[in-house]
Amino acid sequence: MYRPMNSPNPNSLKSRFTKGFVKALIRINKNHPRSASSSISSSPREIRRRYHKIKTASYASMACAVGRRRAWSRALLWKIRNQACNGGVVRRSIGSRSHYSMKKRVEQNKVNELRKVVPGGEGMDTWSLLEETAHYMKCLTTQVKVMRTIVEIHSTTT
Amino acid sequence: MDMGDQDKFELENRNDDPVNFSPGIKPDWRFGGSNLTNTSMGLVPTGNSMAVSKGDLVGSSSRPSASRAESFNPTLWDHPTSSQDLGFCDMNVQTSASTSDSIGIRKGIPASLRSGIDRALDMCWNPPNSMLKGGMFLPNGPGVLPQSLSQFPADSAFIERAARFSCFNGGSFSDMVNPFGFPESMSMYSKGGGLMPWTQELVAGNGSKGVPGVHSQRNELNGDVSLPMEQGTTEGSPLKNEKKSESLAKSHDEAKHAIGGSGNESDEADSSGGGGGGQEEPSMLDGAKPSAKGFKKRKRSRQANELDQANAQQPGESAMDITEFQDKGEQQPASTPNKTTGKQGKQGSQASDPPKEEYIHVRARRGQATNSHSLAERVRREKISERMKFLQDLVPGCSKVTGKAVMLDEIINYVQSLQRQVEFLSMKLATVNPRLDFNIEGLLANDILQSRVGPSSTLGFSPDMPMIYRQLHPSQPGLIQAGLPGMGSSSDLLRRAMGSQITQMTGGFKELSQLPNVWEDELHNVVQMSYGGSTPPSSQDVDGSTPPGQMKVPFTAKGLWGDVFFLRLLLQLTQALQPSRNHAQAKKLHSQIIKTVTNPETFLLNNLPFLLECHSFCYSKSGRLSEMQEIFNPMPTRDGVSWNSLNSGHASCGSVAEAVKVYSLLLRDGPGNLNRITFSTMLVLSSSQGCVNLGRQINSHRLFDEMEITDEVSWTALVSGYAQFAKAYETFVLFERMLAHGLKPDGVTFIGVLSACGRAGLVEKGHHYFESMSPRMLQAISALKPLCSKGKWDEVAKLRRGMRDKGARKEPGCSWIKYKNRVHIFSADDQSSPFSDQIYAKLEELNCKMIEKGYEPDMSSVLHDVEESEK
Repeated sequence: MYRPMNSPNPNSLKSRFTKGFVKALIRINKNHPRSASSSISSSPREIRRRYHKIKTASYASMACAVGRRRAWSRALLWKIRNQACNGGVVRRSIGSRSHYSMKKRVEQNKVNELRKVVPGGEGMDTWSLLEETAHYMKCLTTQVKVMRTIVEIHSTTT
Repeated sequence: MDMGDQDKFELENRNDDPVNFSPGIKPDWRFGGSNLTNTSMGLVPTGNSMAVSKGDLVGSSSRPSASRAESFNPTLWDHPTSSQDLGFCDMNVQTSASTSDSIGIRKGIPASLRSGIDRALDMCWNPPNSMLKGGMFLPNGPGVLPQSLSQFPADSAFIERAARFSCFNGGSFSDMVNPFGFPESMSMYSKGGGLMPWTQELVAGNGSKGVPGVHSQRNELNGDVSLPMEQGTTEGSPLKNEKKSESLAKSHDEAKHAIGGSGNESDEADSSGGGGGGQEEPSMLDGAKPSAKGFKKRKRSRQANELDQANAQQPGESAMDITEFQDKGEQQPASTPNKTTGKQGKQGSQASDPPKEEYIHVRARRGQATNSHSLAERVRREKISERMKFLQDLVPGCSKVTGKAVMLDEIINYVQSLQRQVEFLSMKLATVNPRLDFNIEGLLANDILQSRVGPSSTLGFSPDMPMIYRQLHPSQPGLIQAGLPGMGSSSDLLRRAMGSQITQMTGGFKELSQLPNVWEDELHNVVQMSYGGSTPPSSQDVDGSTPPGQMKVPFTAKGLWGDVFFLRLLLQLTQALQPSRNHAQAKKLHSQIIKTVTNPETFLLNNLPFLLECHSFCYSKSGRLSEMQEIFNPMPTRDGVSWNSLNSGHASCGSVAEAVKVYSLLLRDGPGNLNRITFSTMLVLSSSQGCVNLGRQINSHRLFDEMEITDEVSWTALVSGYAQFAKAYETFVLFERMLAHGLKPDGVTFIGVLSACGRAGLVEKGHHYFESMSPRMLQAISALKPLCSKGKWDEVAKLRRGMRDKGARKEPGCSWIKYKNRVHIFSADDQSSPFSDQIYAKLEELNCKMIEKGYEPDMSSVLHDVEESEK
């Protein structure tokens, strides 16, 4: 298109994520008006709360950036939205078939483990699980990269 | 990770289609032809054909082949014990090495695909074999290959079959691969042993080792069975006709033929040694073509010959052959179970029970019923291993890992580590002083600019921005250069300049601003300063506060490039920071902008869409639509964004008629501007205001069909729209369709469906849907009301109870009771309403009426809300 390779893509996942995350950060920080004099924040409980908020915000903004195209982002958004009550996710029970060899069973166990790791993986079949995992992994990498940059900037300035 | 990446991702997904797989096979057909000629010359041509296949197949099916190799890989490692002689060890190592890099795979596997056709060589380990043991194979080749060639009837059906076999081989996991691939080579060697004196030694070695070695022996046996299997398919080309007449190719049959083939195969090997026998076979096969039974009979007779020949041959091998053939002789007419038992019997002396044979046995039986299923299964496995390959590339340090389980482990670990990193980083961010609000903003802008993410996007520009930019392009070439960093026309220099400016700006803010209001003022100043180049005198006196000098300098200096882009940036900033309460400010800013711009005409002309977008937010929130309209009307060029903003402005203000008018204008003006946002706006609007006009509902359905991308929101909108019209049937149809699309209905959708049920009185159906809801969707409690209104009180009670069973904590039941033209919000446990007594009395009255009308009142449910207060 118009865009040469080296120039940034304004609609890239990364920038969308960054946008959302920064907004969320600002919101979080704004919601906790603290006295101007307070240096590094106070109680561990407070920090934990902020930590949870920030974590959720980062996941949510990544999921938002990805949009509803992906099953994992959908699941993640859903989970975040309904964080109040847990459970309710119907896990598909994988019937153990007798003719499975030992190796297969091990593999199946691994796949189930992966299901738990990837959001929304519980309702997927193996193939789409792997696909979602790939995408999720990419997104997570981006997320980590951006967040690390933010932290770095902070640490250098403060 | 940008769009391109994702696109590629999608593309790869598409690659997995079973349909797509067939082109991967098709080249094989060609190779079948070319191969025939090649192999007839000896073994070296096999290498050639491999090369050919490499060249050709890589293009079409390199990916599947790669994955296939991957699926092979584990098998190899699983049977390291079977590597008896050095040669085999070598092979193992080599193949595993080659599977780790894709080039090796591509080399090997297409050949294996094809080698299903020229079955003279083993199916998959052919290439490594020929590479490693070329010396050994060379003498074998001429002996065996011509044989196979003579048997090749250029039967297209056969080729197809063989291709399928190869695909089968490729897709399957260790259990399947093993009998097909690996042991074959062993049997090949054993066959070769029949021919060449010095390979005989090898065979002898194999044999001697094999007898005591349980594992290896099994492998060998497998080889004996499986190679024939392949053989059976090749020779089975005549047989296949029969098979097809029975049904589609059944794996059961395959297995049978395999056994039959084993006899044949050894026949060939032997006869190729014996010379005369080999020439006999083609003719036999030709004769066998018409009827399978004749074929079998001949086979049996041949087995007799075979026995003789085998006896004449090397003792070690012949002994094996004899047992085999005897088994085969028995098995030919017998059914599958017999086969396996026969095989086990064949193993006789060995203690090893062969689970592999068991497995084959099971496969055969299953395949008998559903061959298509097994085919699908194969395809599925291929897809999975392909994905695994992809993942392997993604996870660092995973490329060397073999074995699916290990790889999955790695993947899990990696994902978890990433998640932990995210947690860690957010922990770090949480400990950071929250006072650094603006710092974050500024620094991030800095960071983003430096890390070459478009500043426009990071600061909240909508995806529609490129459109606006494009629109800008013709009229303001000077400004565009500055304003189009996202489009790539800007240099790094500009970006750096931007970054430094913003940091300076924020630095200034840090010093100056404690209050958000000040921040806004600053923004105003900055805006003016950005136009400082053009209108320096007016910039300062408009706003009260005087900007700090340190900020002034850079901005006025950069006044030229700042205009459009920077203005946008700042506007976005204001919007982001003060989302709700800056109508007045925004208005002020707006007027200032108009005032300060040197060439207001052009500026307005080109930036109105954007300004409108900015302001529609504020204006529509404050309900000042007329102003919006005022801005909108003189706009010479209206694009999708402006239309949409106007539309959504109307929609959010609830002025349906206006929005519809805008929509129809939009339709008339430029249908090209219709996009998703418009549609969803209209959909939501029409469903929320649905009671106005039924015609609009149809309209919205049409809208819906026009949308290419439908998501849950639009579905839900439509569903609830229908529900509002009590079009229960349509609602259900839609809902089912939605489910069929794999979309997850949320609470709102359920409310829609349930209320449709309620209005139509379909209690059973409603109950059914209700059951399928997860407890967290129980806000849908409101949907119970329509059910109530239908007088199905007991149903409601049941539902309520069910809800309680589900452990749902329902919000205090809240009813809106229209009483004497006034709406009272009436909560269950709420006594605050001045009319609560009256309402309770009314409820009592209703209850009495119900009794009168013959209802069996379920007091607990009718007075569910009331009883608590009465107690």
